[in-house]
Amino acid sequence: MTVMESPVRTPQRPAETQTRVSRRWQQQLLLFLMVAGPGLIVMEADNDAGAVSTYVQAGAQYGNHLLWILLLLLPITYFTQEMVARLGIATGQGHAAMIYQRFGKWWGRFSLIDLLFVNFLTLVTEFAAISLACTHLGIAPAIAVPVAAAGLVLLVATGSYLRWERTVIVLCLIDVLWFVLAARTHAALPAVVRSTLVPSLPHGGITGDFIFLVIAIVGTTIAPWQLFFQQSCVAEKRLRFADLKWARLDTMLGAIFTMLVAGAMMLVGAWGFHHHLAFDDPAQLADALLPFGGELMHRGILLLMVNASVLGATAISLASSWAYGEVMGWPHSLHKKVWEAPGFYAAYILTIGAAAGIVLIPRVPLQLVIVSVQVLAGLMLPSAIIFLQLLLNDRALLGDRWVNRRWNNWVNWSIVVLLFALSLTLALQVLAPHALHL
Amino acid sequence: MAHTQAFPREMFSVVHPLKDQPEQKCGGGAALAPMAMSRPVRISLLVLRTYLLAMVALVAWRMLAVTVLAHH
Repeated sequence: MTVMESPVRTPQRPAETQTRVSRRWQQQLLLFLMVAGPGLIVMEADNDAGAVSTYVQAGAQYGNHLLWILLLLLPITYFTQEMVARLGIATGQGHAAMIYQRFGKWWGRFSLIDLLFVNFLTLVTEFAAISLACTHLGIAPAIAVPVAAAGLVLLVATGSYLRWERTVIVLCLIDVLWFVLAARTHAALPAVVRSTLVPSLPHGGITGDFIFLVIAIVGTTIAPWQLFFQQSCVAEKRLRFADLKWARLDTMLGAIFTMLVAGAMMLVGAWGFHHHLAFDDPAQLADALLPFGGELMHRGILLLMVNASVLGATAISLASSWAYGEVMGWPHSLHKKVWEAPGFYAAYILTIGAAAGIVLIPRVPLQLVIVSVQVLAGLMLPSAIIFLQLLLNDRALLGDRWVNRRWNNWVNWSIVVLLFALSLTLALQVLAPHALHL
Repeated sequence: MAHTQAFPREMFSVVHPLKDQPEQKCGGGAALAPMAMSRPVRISLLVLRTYLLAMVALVAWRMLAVTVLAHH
């Protein structure tokens, strides 16, 4: 941030737009708080229903053995999302618009259709998780799912980006309760720290299941919709060039918080592992832990599952609606009232309504939806990251100041290669399970 | 664009991004022309096309296998 001493270089702004403080640290803190939001939300919303299921399952199957992967994923998620924040600040436009304009209609439509399709399927899994958790809480899905859908629509329909952002930040911070649940497992802190810092393998060694779970963790930690969401969010918030360092800090703190929450989820799952409990999903774990953890643990897991699903649902639906609006050239902003951006809000409401409706249909093959999400997300992530990397090397667009540095490119191409390999392995594992027998 | 300034008597101001004056962004904020197809860009897109074709073929093969299995 630049503190301007010369009145000549200081743009004149109306006094009512300025907040005055007497200390420099207050100024810095206030500025960070004003800029923060997109980074935290994009990271924590990724701890959605699928992530809760994956992390809890990882703990249940392997105890604390996979905690180190989270530490490894921290810089990967940060570097990927930092590129998105930088691109959003530099261009003031969303990711879908950038791909459409710079790579042409074919790639633009491919990216958009791919994003909308996989986002919709992911949204179905969010509502499925809401239905499942509420059933275990004694609330009928026929009530819980429509109420959740209506709440998600109300969240965006107020015509205020800031109101949406502040509400969602509160939802993100509710995830602090995962730490409370993790503390109640009485996991030995030195062992947890050791498992986080020192990579270790489970007793059975490397098996197909182990590889699959590792890939699932990577897949759930870095998702394609995150790229589109954060760039659109940064553009929506009209972050300025000088805000980049605060946006980076926001993204970094969001990544750290998200990984800590993910670690807490793994510890809760590991508690089930230590009690030799069998379960297929987090709701069953909540029931199974009732005799050991009491009502707090039981209801806590179920309510946090609902919170994770709501967070994921609003972020994913907005990523789709922003992207659709950008490509179609429609007004696409939470600053606008519903009647000022009808296409944008219609896309949001229709996807929410359709996903909620599908979950309420009896005997819908939700397992097929979940597998399809994994495959499609795996297919889409490398292409989304390649476009991101090419855009960040586009000097004609960004100029010398905002393009990637050489070390950026080394790091990012390494991430691209890693994600390509993991995505291919994931797709192979799902589509041709016998091909990866170890 | 700068968004902070020092006041006399050590006062500092902060302006919320949404209340600040708009900045001139890279690319001018208007619709941009397509990216120049330099060699690295061409190679990257070629790798991406190959990857996508391979994955489509894999999905098709898997669906065929499942269909054949279902008929037997």
